Amino acid sequence: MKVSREQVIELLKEGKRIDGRGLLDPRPIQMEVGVVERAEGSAIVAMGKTRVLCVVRGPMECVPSYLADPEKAVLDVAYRMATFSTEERKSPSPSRREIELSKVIREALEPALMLDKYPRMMIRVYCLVLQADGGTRTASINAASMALAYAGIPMRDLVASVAIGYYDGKILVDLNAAEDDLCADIPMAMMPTYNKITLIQADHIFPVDKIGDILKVGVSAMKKIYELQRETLKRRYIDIARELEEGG
Amino acid sequence: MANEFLLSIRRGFLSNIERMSILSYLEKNKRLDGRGLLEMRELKLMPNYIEKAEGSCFVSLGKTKIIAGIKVSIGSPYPDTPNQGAFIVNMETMPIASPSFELGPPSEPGIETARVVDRGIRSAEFIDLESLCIEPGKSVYLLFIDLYPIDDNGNLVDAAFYSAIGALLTAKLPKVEIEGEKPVLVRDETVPLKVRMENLPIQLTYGKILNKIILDPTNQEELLIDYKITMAIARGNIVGIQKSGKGAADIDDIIFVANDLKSRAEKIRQNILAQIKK
Repeated sequence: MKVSREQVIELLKEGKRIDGRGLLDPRPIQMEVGVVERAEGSAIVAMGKTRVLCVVRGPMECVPSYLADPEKAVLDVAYRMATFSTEERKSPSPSRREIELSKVIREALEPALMLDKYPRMMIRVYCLVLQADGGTRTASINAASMALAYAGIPMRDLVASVAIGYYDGKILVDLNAAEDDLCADIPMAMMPTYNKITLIQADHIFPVDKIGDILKVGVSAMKKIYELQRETLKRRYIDIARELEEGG
Repeated sequence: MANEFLLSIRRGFLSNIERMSILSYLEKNKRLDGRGLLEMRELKLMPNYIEKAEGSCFVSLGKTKIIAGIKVSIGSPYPDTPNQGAFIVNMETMPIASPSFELGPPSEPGIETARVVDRGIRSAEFIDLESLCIEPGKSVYLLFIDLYPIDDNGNLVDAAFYSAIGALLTAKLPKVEIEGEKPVLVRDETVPLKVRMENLPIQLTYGKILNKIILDPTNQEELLIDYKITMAIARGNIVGIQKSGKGAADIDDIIFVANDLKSRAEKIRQNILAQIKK
């Protein structure tokens, strides 16, 4: 269903959203880890229609070798959108946006990783957006942090992420594409155990005085996503234990 | 070993004595270059630096130097904004400005900086894009705002931002003549580019080291910094935020940055306008 800008505005004025959610509700979230057999870590995350697959490889030899850091592992993150993930076909060559997002996703994950455990090595993270409907960087971070945990990379915490929107005095959680076009978009990521923000960006405008409220709403939404991430990982380990028992 | 040495040069490095000095000064709330923690280096704008460009500005922020140039061409509008012109910000990171830059395809720091500058200007709606329409749905002005860092002594992103602002404030739009069916630019007849002065955005970058927040970090400080927050403001609204660096930020620090930026914005705006008028 294609919705017009006017419809989104009309509903927002009444405190409603086009997909029937409340302002502070995230979209339905589905998460699964261990979805790619040939990788150390993997996860798929769907937030509404947005769907991202993430794969982790390593720790492995650093390639090219001159990038190796004698003090810690190099974290390499690639964020890419599948050509069929958008309305119009996306060119497969990496856009400026994809290069910037690869960097901010890397810096959102890095504070949580104990990279100093693997000097001279490399850990690679590949995020592939299968379907884009807003919040692809936040879904990528949610998937990547679970895939890293599933790969057994030592971590201080999981990283949870959500985009907060602001429109005409209203704060919204987890924007979809139609809302993203209209609202100020403030994607953020955090390590919930430490209450530390590892990513924050902003696009469009919102009043300076609202920044505190926006962060507060974001933090409480990210803490809920964090619980889902933990449950998803636990569920997977219970399944593995059961498979081992049955098999052995 | 050779590789490691070359790499450390490229990444930039601090000697132990530099590191110790910076940190011991910071403990006393001072900085190596004599500034206070929340003191910005001198911002100088030299507009109309390149005659061939439709707009240009050489900016120095302390020892950090950068040139912005605007070239104008005619193109088609985006389908969803048929009566608006377009602009794109691009940064060329040549090894002129820093040993960490390489020739070749657009680099990650170049792309990030250009996109942060672009978002601040775009979100503030500083450029009157409707004034760049030539024929609705058919032809519009395209502004290419290209940034060339000359000397990276830290906080390139703010220097880049003000060079783009300086170039836009003084840009002149060539007139258009219709030749046959096609519009062509007449570069010797110009009108000033329309910008919304009341929306002039102001951007500042803060870094966190040793639990202290510093404004406008130098390249030496950048090597020690936990993370940076770049924020832009226009008319009391936030028009851009970018956290960069591998550290994690406290929520209170982000709120502090927003309020500190708000308290400084008007003075910086006055400073820019005074330098542009000269």
